[in-house]
Amino acid sequence: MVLYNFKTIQVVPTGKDFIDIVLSKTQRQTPTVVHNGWAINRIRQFYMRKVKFTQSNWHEKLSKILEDFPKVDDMHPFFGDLLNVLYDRDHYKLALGQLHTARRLIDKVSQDYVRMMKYGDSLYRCKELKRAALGRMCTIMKKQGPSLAYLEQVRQHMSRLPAIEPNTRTLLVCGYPNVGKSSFMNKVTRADVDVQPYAFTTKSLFVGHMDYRYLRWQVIDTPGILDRPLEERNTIEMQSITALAHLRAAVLYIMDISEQCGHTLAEQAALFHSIKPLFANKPLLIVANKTDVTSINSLSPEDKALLDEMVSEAAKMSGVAPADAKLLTMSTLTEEGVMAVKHVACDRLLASRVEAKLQGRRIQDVAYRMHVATPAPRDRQARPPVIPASVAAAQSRAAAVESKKKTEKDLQEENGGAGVYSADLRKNYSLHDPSWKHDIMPEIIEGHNVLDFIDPDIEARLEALEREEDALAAEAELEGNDMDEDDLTPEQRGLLKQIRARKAVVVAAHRRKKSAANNAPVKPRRADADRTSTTQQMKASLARVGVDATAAVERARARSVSRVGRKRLRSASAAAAADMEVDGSQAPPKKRIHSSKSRSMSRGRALSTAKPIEGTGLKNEAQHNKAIKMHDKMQRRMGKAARRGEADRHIPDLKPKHLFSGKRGIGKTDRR
Amino acid sequence: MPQGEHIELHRKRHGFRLDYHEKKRKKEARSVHKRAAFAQKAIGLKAKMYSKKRHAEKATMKKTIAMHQQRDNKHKAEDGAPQSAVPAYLLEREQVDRAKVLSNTIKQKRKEKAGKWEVPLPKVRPVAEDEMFKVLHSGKRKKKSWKRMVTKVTFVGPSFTRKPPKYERFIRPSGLRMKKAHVTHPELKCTFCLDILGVKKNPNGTSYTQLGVITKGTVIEVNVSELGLVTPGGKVVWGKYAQVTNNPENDGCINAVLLV
Amino acid sequence: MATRLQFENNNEVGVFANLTSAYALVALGGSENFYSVFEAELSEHIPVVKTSIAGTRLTGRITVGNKNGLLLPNTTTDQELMHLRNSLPDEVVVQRIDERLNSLGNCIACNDYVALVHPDIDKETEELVADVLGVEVFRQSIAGNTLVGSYCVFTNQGGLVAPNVSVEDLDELSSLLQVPLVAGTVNRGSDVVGAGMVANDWAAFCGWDTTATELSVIESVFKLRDSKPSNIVNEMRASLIDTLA
Repeated sequence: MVLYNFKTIQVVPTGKDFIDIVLSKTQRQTPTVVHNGWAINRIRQFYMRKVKFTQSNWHEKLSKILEDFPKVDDMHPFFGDLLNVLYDRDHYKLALGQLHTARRLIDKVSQDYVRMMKYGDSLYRCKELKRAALGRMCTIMKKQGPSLAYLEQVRQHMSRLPAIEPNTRTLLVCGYPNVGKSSFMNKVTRADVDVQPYAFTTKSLFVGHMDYRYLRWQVIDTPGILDRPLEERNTIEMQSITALAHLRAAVLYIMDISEQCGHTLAEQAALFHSIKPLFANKPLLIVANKTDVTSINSLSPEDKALLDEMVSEAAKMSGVAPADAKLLTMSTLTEEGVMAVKHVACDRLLASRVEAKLQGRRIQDVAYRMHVATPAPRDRQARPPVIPASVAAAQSRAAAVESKKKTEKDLQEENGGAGVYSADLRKNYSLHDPSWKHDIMPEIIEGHNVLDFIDPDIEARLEALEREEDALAAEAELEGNDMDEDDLTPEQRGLLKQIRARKAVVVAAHRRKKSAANNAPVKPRRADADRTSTTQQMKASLARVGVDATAAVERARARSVSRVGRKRLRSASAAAAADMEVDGSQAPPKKRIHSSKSRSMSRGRALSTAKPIEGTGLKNEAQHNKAIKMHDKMQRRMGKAARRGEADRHIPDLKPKHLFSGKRGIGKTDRR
Repeated sequence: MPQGEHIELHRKRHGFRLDYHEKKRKKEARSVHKRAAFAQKAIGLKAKMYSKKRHAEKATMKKTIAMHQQRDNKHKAEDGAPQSAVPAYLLEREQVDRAKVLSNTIKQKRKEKAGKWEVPLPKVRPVAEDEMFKVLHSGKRKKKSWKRMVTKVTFVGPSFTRKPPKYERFIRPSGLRMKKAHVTHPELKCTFCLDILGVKKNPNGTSYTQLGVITKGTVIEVNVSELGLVTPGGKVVWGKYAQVTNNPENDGCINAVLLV
Repeated sequence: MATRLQFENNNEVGVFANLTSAYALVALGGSENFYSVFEAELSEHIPVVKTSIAGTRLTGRITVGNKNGLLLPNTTTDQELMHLRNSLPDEVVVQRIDERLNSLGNCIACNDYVALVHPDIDKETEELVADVLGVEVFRQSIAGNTLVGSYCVFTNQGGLVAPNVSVEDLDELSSLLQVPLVAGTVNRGSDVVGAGMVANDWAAFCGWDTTATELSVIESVFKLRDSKPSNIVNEMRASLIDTLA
């Protein structure tokens, strides 16, 4: 559904402001520095950009205005006519049309000047062209001043129009001035309309809302209407007429039977008959107001006859059976009958709307929403609702006394508000012992998630396990076939004792090992203080199992580093060493590779031990080393930056493209 | 009062805020100082615009003040020149008046006597050839340079057909061709946008006239049939000369004065 | 009775709360406002528990339960599980289940006797639902929507189903669930009713945007405050036609 909200239309600046806005935007948002020495193309570009930018700004802003203001032809006829009454449709259309033309002209100007600028041959010429272009655009807009001013006025007025929805459920209150239309409105809605004891207090349409039958109803208060021909009506009255003519609403024609408004009942009846065509096809109610001043029974027979005639006429027009039609009476002062009027009017309108909708096609699409599926019993099972007894009790109590319990929100407000107050989550725990509530429960103990080990049935399971064990024991008792140690020979007994002792050791070792699991760090032999893995041990343990360990011990000793010495030999000498060992003869003392003993074996070759070469100008070893160091330092930076150096591999381009392609020009050989 | 006007409604019900008028008065009194402060501080374009606006305001203010004080001011008595006999010492003034009238008539006569080609802009800045034309290089190696492009606004008649582009010496770019001119009628003090019929004379030379180049001072022929001018014989005039008064290549339009 | 409320400016009440006849779960929020609405309404009768589930606030969408039990997704942390076990009465079985479709509230809809489950749910889960919640389980979709928990809400008294379901489907569903059903919306026309509201046998909570008509449909079908489902057909018919058509 289209929402008629005119509050979102943006402000329309006056002609002068508009020009200032756009030009200063151009000044701010395009480059401002240009030099005579630039290539002409760049200069042209610079000025073209200014012209195009200005044009696009105008275009954007004008489009926004044209888009914001509603099109009279697209609107609901009610708003269309209201606009016509209030602002004169022709004037409105003309103003928008002129802006549209201005937009087109500005686009044209920009197009022309940009084209001309392409032939600009100097900065001066381009600048002059830009100046002329902006000037012409501004001139065009200057001429739109009155249109813009008018549209701004319209915008301000439109944004204050009440938010009337033309298609919703509406009650329309109408009648002579000062008969109590606004008072009725104030009674049924919260609109708080101005009520004064003089005619034409209400000068425009007013809207209020109320609830009835789960629905939201719109009540429109209209300015009073006088009985005169349409052409003579003023703008204020015309608003009422527009609303009456275009809104499909329940019309309440309010009559002042006390005639305090200054118009006799006859005059009010005459008005009713003269604007009768506007009420066609709408639920129409005649409401007699101010019964607190004059009661309906104290009216003269002529007046009564007038009222009866109106009521029957109204019934005829809105298609209600004459029997149902009756004059409604109310007093907005004492509020007597006001609600009855509201209910009758709403019911009548709802009935007519429903009737209209039942004719339509959409009703088929929503018919299922009115359907309540009731279950066919499937089986005998009862499925009663589960409602705690306290609920019913509380409901009956709530009816009697309104007891306010302190909620968390109240606590929150007392203790510093949201974000400061931190609620106690454990407050409502239901535990065996309420004092446990705030006990601290560890999450992890010794690397184990405590909750993984919690089993609510632990007691029962333990009991079952014990029972099973007992049963097994009893069973064994019954069978009684276990071997007795008594019938063993002493030799066998000794062996058994040995086996058991050995087993105990193995088990203990295994347990120790397992407790550490795989996390046990591997102990380096050097740190093995109690010497658990010596060759001696190996020999003993192998002997225990009954294996001759001499060969193994030999092999292990042969591999020992301390015997052989360090193994970082050249392969040839290492092989020689191995050969010699096989021979079993004594090897000659190995030649030391490094002459200097002071140098650690693990040191790299960063420092050369060689003497500086004669003639390099380096005095001694120290200087030589320093030179090497300095060179390394230089090299390091180069290496880090990964620059290309002369040592890098380089594949020369033997036939560079630029030297071997294309034809030769007239004497342009120098590029080769 | 429409429904949305909450401030007005509140004022109607409860009146103004107690300090409303006081605040308003103070704000008004302060505004002068604020304006002065701005005027002193502003620089550049803003300052220029502001001072221009302020100057205009002051001028109107002075005028209105003068108008209000007119009654009190001393000003010269109306010179309802006595028609009757005048003392000798007053004769001089009248003579001056007459002299003025005479000089006007003389001027009128001189003007009529002067040549028919008396134009509003008698002298124009000569335009050099290299300003008028841009040399275009042509040929396969772009070494031939006999082509010229006109860099000024030109008028090209509707019947013009191009030569084959290869042999065309003078190029008149279509972006710089114009068909209309804003012509001011000096007596009517009105400006019309009229069709150009042709270039009568370009003061820089006949070749330019032939090419239809329009620069400042060029005399063009415009279609004045819209104006409804009539010859003494009763025929409708449709072509008339006008002199261009601006630099069309700089302004993007042709402004001209009708020669009457 | 039906109450309108918001969770931190969000109308999807069913996302942040889970309500059954035996307890209510409410998400942890920045303030106590949401919780206190439930607290004021329910705390005299049933425990109202404030909790996060798997560290999120989507309490209503990823849990499912009734008066017999509560099913939680396997992403629920141990602390949350313990908190729930401590807070809920001992009769309520709290169970974490391994289910691929772990948004249980969207995939399962149940009252105290019947449950509808997503057609693709695991066999084991289905059995667990039957055991823990003590309900008959039906694999079902609602008008082609497999997320049964999102598109319907039902209690032991009645149920609200998303509006794109036909009359025949509604009747069939109703005889399956053995409660009166009606097609309707919450939150000014939202059809994800499961996310828009929560209800039990005597109370309902819906989003702030819910219109008066929607609210009265809800009250009638859930039999809150002595209203009957037949009201929808009789008294409210005109209002419904006027708002819908």
